[in-house]
Amino acid sequence: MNAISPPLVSLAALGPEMTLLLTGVAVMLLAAMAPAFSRRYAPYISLAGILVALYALLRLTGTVGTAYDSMLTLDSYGFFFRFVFLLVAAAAVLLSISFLTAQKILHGEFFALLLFSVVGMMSIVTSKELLVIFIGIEILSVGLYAMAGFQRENVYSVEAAVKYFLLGAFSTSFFLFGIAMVYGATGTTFLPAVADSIARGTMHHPQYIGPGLALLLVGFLFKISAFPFHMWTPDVYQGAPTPVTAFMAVGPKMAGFAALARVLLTAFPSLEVEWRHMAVVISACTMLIGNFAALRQNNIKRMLAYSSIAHVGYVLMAFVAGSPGGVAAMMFYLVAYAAMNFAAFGAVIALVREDEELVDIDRYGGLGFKNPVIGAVLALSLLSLAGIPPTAGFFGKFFVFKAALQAGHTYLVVFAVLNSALSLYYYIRPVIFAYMKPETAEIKPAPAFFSLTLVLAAGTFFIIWFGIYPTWLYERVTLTLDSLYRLAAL
Amino acid sequence: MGMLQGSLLSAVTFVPLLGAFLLILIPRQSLRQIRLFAFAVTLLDFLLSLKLYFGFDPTRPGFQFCESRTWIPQLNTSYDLGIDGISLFLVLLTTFLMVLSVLASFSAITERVREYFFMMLLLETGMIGVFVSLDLLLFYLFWEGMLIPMYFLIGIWGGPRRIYASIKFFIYTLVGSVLMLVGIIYLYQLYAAQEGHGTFSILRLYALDISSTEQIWLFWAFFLAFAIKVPLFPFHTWLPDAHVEAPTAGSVLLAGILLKMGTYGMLRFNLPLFPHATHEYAGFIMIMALVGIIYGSLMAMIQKDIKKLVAYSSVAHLGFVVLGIFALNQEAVEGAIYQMLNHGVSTGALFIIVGVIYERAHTREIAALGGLWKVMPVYSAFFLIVALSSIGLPGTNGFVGEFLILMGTFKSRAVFAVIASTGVILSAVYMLWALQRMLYGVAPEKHSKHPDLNPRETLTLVPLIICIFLMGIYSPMFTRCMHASTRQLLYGATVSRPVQVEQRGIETGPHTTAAVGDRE
Repeated sequence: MNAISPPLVSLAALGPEMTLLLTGVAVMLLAAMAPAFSRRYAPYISLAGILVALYALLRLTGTVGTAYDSMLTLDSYGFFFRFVFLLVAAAAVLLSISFLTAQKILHGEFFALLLFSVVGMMSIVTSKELLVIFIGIEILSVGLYAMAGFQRENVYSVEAAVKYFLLGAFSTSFFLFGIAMVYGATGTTFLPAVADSIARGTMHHPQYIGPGLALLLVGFLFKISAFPFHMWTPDVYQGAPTPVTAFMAVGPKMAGFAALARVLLTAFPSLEVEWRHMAVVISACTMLIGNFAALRQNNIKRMLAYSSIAHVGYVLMAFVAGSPGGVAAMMFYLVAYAAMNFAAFGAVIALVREDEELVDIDRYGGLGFKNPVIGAVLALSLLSLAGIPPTAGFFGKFFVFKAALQAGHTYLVVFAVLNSALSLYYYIRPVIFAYMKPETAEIKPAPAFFSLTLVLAAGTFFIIWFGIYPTWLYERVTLTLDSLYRLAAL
Repeated sequence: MGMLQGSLLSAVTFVPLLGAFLLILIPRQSLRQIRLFAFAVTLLDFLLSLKLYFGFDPTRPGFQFCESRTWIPQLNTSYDLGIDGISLFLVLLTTFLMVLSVLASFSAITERVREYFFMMLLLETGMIGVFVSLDLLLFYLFWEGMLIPMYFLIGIWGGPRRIYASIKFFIYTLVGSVLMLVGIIYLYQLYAAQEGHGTFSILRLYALDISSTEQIWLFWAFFLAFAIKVPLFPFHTWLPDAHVEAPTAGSVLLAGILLKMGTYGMLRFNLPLFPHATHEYAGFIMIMALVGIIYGSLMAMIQKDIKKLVAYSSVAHLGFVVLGIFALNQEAVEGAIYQMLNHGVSTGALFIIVGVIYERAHTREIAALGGLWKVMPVYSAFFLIVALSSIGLPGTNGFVGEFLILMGTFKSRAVFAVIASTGVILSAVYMLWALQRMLYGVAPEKHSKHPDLNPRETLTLVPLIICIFLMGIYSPMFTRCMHASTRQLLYGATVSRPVQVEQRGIETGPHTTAAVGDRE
């Protein structure tokens, strides 16, 4: 079955994941044995680990093939996402430092959990084996459950953890059931083999394949928080520590989308008509619900939670297209979304004080002038989320709309652009308070954290760069598609 | 110098942006330096743009000063700039009004001065970009991106209801624009279907064959965006709010430039891209324009606030412009372009004049003022001249534009011209009545000691007054650059240009020319 047969065990193929795993274990052991040392250096050890992982990954540039008896697939599609995930991990670590310090909960374990989650994300995109994808989702989720409840003193944080855990456990079991169904139908869990079996009509029990796909979708839609499995999002995003929310709104979603695209395109191209129709409905409902619910929020974390739901709706339009252009648009969108979301959450984190977080939008009065940098980053990232050019968010939407229009879904695109115009109303609200309302006493100059500044600067840079010159990223993205489609056809 | 010549348009477009970022480097407290620097940047940009006028070849119908650089090759979209006889003067108007707006803001803006001029300069880049882009995607980037600085200008430095007015302006225009975005992408796909690869290049899209049904949809997708911007009745409700709340310079630019983007868009996109739909709906749109003229004038008549009066007069004046555009003949379209410039000059001047009195009296209520002629004679004289130009008195710029529009409209639809001319009369009514109440009579005690124009204010208004007379007396100086471009535009907008409804891709014979007014 394998065209290319590298050695059964290839450490290099798993180099980045291994590095992160070892770093995570080291950080955890340090936290147990030398708590004081760990409190001080855990973030930097983690960052060093991420850097080494990046190096290990870059050494894999151009490597294509399978490893571990086809359990792992190395291709440029997976490579792209692993690279982005490492950057996401670095951003999450940098964001956490200032927050955890301010809240006096900086413990080494947090970073270990974060690294493990990233390992999960990376495994999800490095495999064409449903079981490995499942295990990746589990690794990712377990870390997240614990991180969501990391503010043990905060009742909302604990609530978030419990809620996320219970619902997440449900959804993964649906996913597992889906795998079982697919296996029952085709006798395999290897995606290309599933596709093969469907295409040749050699399924043992064809009646299971539809329900199987549906159950898999339940798992994915939960992870990316799409309608109708989005209900957990606002509470969890609001309750979780803000850097965790930032990470959650980006990382798992990206991994979920990446795997969803791979599963649908590799294993179920023959059911394309069905899942494309489904995507139309889910996409429209998701953006509508996200946008309408966001209109009434005063808590910025909750608002960004609903906004993230709305964005999932836009990204799902890429699946409506089902074309290479659609997948490219999805990848572009996700990267742009990561940049603007981290910038927005970074600005929110910059307002964290020891006693409390400043998350109520109506208390942002005068932020823009009292704290020009944070105000400007917040405004820029929100305008980018609203899709106003020249920002990354505009081109993200542009590519997605273009793909959907190419597929002939003009009504959906019109619906989406009107949604996007509507979204401006809530995105602009924090800007109104920051720049147009009288100053409140609560806004104080932020304590300078170099780590946080770095994230804000990087976010701003990417938002503007991709907003003015999207060519570079779009080129990278399209280069990976080849591998996705060619191997899918294998 | 040679390099500058090759990228003169880029320079004109991006000098303000560069200036904006240099401006941030000046310390916040040095107000004088900040103001002078902003003034210097806009002045430099104006001088640069003058080179466009002197280097412009009026005999060539196509685009000049063209620049092209690759931008997003995967989408076949490139950084294409160029101007023709239509956009040339709009660019000049922008750079010209910017200089005066910056001057007019010297004393009006006292808080957050650096941020204010930063936004003004960003806005200038956005506005010029809209007029010089020859690529639809690039155009759209400027078109929407420009909303951000304008939003902040109204929202931060505006009047008491600024937040409401600014958000209304932002969302209202955004809704229109996003539908145009769908239209833009649709055009791209359409071109891809016919030629094998899509494009956003305006010039290439001009050659596209679009079926009549698609033309109708696309026409409205574009038209709605432009109609909201103009604003054409019934999409005008954001305008009075935005104008009343905006700071003086914001109003000047809003009326002088931003509204022109709508009519410019109609000329640049609706007419040549969708000729069939244009002819189909020209009558209907002209009726909307007529309603706008009458309604705007009547609303202007009953306003108590002089700024609101000017705002509603804009609705009426822009109604004339739209009327001229959709009369679809050379006189009317040139009149419309001329009227766009006139409106920029006259209404810009009016807003500055209103700003001057507001800075002194802290009121804009017509009834509260009076007898200004005795108090501020120079100011009143300027006011009178500008008001007469706004009415369209022969010898001033307003007359030329309105006359051309009415003449052209008369040729295509005589009844409409008759109705439109009542608008001219109504404009005399509301303007002169306001003048009478404000300038004559006895000055109230409170407002009897205001100082007359200071040198800076005089310097702001004198160029506008010169323009009013120059454009009124020696119009060929401007129209000579327009003839070739409008002729080409109207040729592109003829219905007899081959439009294939069903059979795409079949070669047709050479394009046939037809008289434009044929339909009647």
